[in-house]
Amino acid sequence: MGKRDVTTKPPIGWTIFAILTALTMFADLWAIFFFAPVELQMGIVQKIFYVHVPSAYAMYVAFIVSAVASGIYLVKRSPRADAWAVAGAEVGMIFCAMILISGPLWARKAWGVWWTWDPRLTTTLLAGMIFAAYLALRSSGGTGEVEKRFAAGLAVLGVLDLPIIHYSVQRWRGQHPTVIGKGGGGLHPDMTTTLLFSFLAFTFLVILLLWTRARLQSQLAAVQEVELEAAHRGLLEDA
Amino acid sequence: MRALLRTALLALALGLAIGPAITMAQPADGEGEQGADEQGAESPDESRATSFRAVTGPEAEDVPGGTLLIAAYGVLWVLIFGYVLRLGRLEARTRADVTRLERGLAEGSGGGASDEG
Repeated sequence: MGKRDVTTKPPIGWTIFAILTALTMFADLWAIFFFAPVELQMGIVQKIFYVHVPSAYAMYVAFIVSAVASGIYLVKRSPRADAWAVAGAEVGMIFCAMILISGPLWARKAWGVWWTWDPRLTTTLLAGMIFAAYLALRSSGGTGEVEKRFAAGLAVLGVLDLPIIHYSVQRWRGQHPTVIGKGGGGLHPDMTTTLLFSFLAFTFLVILLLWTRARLQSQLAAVQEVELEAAHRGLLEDA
Repeated sequence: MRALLRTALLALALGLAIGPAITMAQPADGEGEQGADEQGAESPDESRATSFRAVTGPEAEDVPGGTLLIAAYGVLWVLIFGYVLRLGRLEARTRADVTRLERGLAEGSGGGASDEG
């Protein structure tokens, strides 16, 4: 048996980064509620924007990590890549849930409806469903090699939906706002500052969650492997 | 994994359930009193709308933005803390597995294999 990483104590770098992330998230809340001005037309509900948009960005990051790691796993069969793929899909789903919940809460005020089959909303829901299928497959299929490969293929296919989400607003001209980016009307300078700070906070958050989940998945896989080998050698009576 | 799906579904259900409930619980200014006066002791058939009137100016529907905002941020933090809790439980389970494995290997091979587990 080779040397495996089953150290359960988190590294000091992780602890420092976790504290930095927590501080940034709380500072972001302060900026959103006390620094950013209230929007003229929509009022206070516009402040959902400062978590909705960075959540979408964090979802992109996590799903891309999952797809890239899945691609590496399909080529190299690396357990570490598999761990990052699982982490990306799981963390991406958390942010996808944030988008799909915060969006309708904003839409109720702005559009008068909770949900509409706008291209961006529909394609985001589709991405969530693809990666939910990935997680369901991984949770029900155990740790079998076939399930891992099939799930990896699903993640690689699922990431193709992300450019469609991103460009759906320009391509199909739905109801979804385009305040920032091409064709957008822009933001008040203080709103821009707050949004950029939110992006920073969510970057830290997504990195922290991915790092933590991937580390745990690697440890779980290593423990299962050691357990299997030990059981085969008859070293464990109850394994 | 099941816990995560449960948490996500709960959060989704919570968001979808709280929003309409909050909105319906806070009618637009004057709308609640007016509605109560109009309905009185009428039966459902009698209270059915018989005409549609156009909204003018400040009488437009007033959706409570503050409650929607609180619901959005509430769900956000529930999701984050719920996931952190799940990661904590997963780490505790891994730690317990490592301890059990080390003990089992030590007993099985006189401590020789415990370095790897």
